[in-house]
Amino acid sequence: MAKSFDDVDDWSAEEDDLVRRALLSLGEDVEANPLPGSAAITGVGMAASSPESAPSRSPRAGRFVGAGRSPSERRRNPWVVGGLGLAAASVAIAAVGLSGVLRGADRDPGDPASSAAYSSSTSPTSTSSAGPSSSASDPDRPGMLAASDALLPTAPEWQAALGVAGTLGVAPNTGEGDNGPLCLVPLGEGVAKANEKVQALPATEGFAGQRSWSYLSADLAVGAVNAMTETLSACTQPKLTPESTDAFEEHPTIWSFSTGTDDKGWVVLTQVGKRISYLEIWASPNGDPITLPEVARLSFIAGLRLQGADQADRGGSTSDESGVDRVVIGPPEATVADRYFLDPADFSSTGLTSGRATLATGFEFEGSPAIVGTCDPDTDPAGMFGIMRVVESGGNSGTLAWQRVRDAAPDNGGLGDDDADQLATTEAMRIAENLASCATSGTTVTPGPSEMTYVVSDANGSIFVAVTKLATPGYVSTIALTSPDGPTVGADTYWTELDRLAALAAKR
Amino acid sequence: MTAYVQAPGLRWGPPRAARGVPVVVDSGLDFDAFYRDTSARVVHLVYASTGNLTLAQDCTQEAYARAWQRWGSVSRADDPLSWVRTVARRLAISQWRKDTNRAEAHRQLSLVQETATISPERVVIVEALKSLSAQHREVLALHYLLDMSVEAIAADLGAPAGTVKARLHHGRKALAAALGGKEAHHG
Repeated sequence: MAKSFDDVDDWSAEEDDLVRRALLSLGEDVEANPLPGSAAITGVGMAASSPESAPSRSPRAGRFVGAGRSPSERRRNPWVVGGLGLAAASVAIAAVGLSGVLRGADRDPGDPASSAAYSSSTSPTSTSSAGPSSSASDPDRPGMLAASDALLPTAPEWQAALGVAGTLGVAPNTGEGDNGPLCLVPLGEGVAKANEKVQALPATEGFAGQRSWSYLSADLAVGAVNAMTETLSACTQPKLTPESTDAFEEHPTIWSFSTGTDDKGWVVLTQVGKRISYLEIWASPNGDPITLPEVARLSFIAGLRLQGADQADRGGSTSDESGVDRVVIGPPEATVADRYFLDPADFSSTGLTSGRATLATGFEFEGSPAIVGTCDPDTDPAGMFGIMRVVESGGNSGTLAWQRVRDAAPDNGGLGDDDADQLATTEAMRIAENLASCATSGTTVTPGPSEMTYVVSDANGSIFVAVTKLATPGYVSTIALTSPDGPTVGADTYWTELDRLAALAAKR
Repeated sequence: MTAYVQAPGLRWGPPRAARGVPVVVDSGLDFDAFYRDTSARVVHLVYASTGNLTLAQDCTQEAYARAWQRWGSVSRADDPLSWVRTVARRLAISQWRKDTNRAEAHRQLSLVQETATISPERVVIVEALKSLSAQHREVLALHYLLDMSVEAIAADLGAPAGTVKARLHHGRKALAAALGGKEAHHG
């Protein structure tokens, strides 16, 4: 029988006392540096908004006419039904309430998680391959998805699901008053990928909202969605009521809540692979009450959206990419797809890591795409890009490498491959030339042996950089190799590894 | 793709009434008293979690400011202090991560400046704390300053109990070693 942790804990009472006394003694510094009085705090708070300011009712435009849909339309949920036991466990699709904490790119680190316990009993061992067939070609759901690779339902999909004849809009939510999901849902280690509001145009205030988060693995996502569900189940403000319907019957636990008006509010939580999406509706866009079948359809679409992203992670139709777990972080709704990045395992080599394995891991995205410090000319947070951080598996948690991929020609409409390729060439040259001219009194930049490779050095160390145009028209890769422990191998090794990695990147 | 322009200052979220939060604030818990009675403890906790007193003070004040903004709901929570603690810790960790990533990515010198006064006796402790990872510091602080059990910390952090136990184990050994080493070194 394996030893438990307690069995091998050689902790002594003396050490315990030493640590306790040390930590408690910090209180003396706190006492010696008191905070200002509460007036300073409430002044700060009121500068932003007074507490619990009067609510503003969401707009009820009343100018849209319900389009009407067949109440009998039913669909099988392919990613649940396809695998039954395992799939049902691994792809939790639950409808629940809201509240919680944003993480990652656009999160508000302040909103606390609730005290809901981690749910260790619900995480299945197999979680990543939940879905059967691709949504795009599934004849069982023709026309349900708009042409988009969005992680969340698009405006036309909302419109169709709710039977709204007018125009709905989906816009990024950047409002200061964002309260986060209901019930202070704990989000685990999720990185926020999108945070949007849904509007009944021309109204600018949302009648609904939607968010998505990405996790390092499907297991973590399952754990997170279970914890969310647990919290929402216990939520009392508002009290969430599970709903079930024959329409899209794979969603047996859609939740509703009272909005204090004649309308019901709705919550939908969906998880596929390593992603979770969360939808919250608190008013009708046109005055017609939103019905359970409509919400079920919406949740079904949300699942399709996540399924599409999950399949893209695994290489879409190219099965040779299956299982590669890249963690690519970028701006919500504008993150370059994972498949354009190197396999994190590619960074493992005898020269660079002494053969130790490498993996991609999450980090706090601050909005900037820069990975080469002040010498990096790619600092524009706009546009479409993604960043991957690579570390050694089980070793030093410091960064071994960064890779950024930017789409130099996003949303190019009718732009042809040649033009997109030319834009990528221009962008690669721009980055390279700016790197080459970055030298200052404290920083040196030396060209490497290969084209568009450089080493940027200052008093703190060196970064070996390669700028590469990808085979896919419009895409540019920048790879930056660092060393968590300072230089442990010679420059020649870095150049060799950089050339190898750049060549691999160029094939994508 | 259609571009939608968001007007400034618009909020994402249902009306307050929809969240079950009364508009009228009458929780019976006075914010001033709550702040006066609890804020030092929060600073202490965040200080131990980060090894940075100035950061702890800033994040604590920000956490209370956020609590004040939504006092109607926070004061009705089962444990308002837990809410504030969590906010403050998350703010601190977020800032710490930003600093760390900035340092890693940019290889720039840290610009963090201590403005609060730390006694010479505590410098050794702070140095030892900073030699630990943020996760280890956080678990140690929760365990030793709040007397939270492994299970309670796991629930609070949303992490498996085994992970918390491991962090506690490694964290306190590392801190004890660091303290012992420093103390020995400094005589």
